[in-house]
Amino acid sequence: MIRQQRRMFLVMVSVTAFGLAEAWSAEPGPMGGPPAAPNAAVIYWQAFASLPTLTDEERTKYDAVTKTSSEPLPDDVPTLLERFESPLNDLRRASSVPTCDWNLDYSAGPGLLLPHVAKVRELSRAGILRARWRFAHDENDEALADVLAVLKMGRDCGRSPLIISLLVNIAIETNATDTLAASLPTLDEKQLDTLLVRIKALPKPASLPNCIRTEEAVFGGWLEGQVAAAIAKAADPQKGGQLFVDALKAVGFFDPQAMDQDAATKLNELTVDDVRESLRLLRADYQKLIAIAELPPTERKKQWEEVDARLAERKTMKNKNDHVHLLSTTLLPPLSRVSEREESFENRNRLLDLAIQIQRHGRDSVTIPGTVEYKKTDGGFELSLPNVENGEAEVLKVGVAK
Amino acid sequence: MTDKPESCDAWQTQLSWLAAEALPESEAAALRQHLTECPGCAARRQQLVSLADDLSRLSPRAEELNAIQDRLIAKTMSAIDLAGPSRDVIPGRCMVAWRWLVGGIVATAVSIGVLWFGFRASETPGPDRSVAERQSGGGDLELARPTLRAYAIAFARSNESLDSLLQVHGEQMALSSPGRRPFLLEEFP
Repeated sequence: MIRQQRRMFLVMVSVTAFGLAEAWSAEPGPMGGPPAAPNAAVIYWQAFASLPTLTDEERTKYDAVTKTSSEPLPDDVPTLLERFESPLNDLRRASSVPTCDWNLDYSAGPGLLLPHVAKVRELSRAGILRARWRFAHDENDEALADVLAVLKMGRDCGRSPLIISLLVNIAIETNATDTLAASLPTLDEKQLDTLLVRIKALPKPASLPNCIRTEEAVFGGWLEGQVAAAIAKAADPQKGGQLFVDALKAVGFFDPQAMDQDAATKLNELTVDDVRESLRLLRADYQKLIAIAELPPTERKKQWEEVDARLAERKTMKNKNDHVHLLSTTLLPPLSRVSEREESFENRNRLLDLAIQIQRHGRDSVTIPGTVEYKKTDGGFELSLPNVENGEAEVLKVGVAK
Repeated sequence: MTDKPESCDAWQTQLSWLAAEALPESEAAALRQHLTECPGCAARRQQLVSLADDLSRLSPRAEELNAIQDRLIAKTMSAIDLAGPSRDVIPGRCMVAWRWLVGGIVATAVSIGVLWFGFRASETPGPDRSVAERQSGGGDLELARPTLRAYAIAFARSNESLDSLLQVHGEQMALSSPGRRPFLLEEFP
């Protein structure tokens, strides 16, 4: 018996040793152990962890200098930037790591934690501030590296197929491209060539249709699971109203106490089948939204308006049909606003690409599309392109007015 | 003692909440019943009450945590405009939420005290906060946490609400609401 145990022990030790030797022989990590797959998210989190807690005075100053991208910077900005040295070093380090996996727990449904999103936004402000300071002091290579690191982080955030991640990426890129465009005239040919290549190599953010698909799964799928579990326990299939209220409250979007008495009474009359139907309608509405988001911007605008009008009408809760649509009216995001921002973001990227080429090769050597307006300005030039969805022109100002 | 030791272990978390006067009445009644039958737990409760008093008087850390929570919640609520007209129909919700918050901090301090005095940590889950929060309106505190739900609610209100919420979360990581599994107990350095 003892010999058998000893033999088994030796076999286990041999197998373990063989496995470790195989793993370590592939490519040793820095400490001689198995190599870890590089993940930019891990480096970003190191940056977030070392973000400084600013004093009230520093915060006021920081907010003031990061509010605009065109105002001249005060002389004491380096003191402020010193506080961000460690996180900004990590930001630059992460910019050379292509993979970024935030390891989000989508199974948490609406409770999905997104602690990185606000931190990404916060760190980007510091990165852009340092780039502006460096551009203003002729440190163009370093400034470019800072802006590109910020753009990469924004895209790394926007790669998660969630509307909030997409919106944060768009906001970051808008600020970063403003800074970049203001300094384009100070860049030399090599820097402009590098910039164009690096921008094209940035990871692509998730598309709006994909974001809607994910949110359908996160909200709709999660809710279905919750409701199914509640239905299994429900004693009376005719009493779906409370189950419905509980489901909506679980999502966190709904305050039944804010409903008027009539609407609350009608809600209580719903059956379990009505709840099932509401879930089916929610899924169907998500599919309609995906189909609209996949249309070109010229066709989207009218469709969003129709969806918004229909949902607003149902929110009045006049009849039972409106109540059965309560999941859709409560949960569906205001996608027309997201779609407007996405179009504006895409147009801005087109303008930036064009602006770099104009700066690099000269106005006369670049074919400017008919929809884009070129205007010479005091400090450089201005490009504008009309956004179909919000009816406003997307404007990129190249150079700073003297 | 009428109960087995295991059942006493199951009450430890609730004991901390009771000592901090933050246990929902529905659960407090059952615990009080247990205390009448279990001198060991009754004595422990007395120790915890005394400890809670000492900590709330002496510990600057508890006050500091209070101040952090105050700042975060105030900023978050102001950022997303929770004081809007639709909320006015439920008077006193915020007050109840605040009571939970302060109670939670004291309860946390008490729990630390329990560990300090060498009691075995209980592995049982805390009180059913989802029920308590639904009753007290403490669900508003959800917006202080960086969840998909919080951002979706803020964005549904306006672009500016979302931006303000992100600003608050960016400056200071959300703290856990009382009774939930802590997300992060400290500010980042």
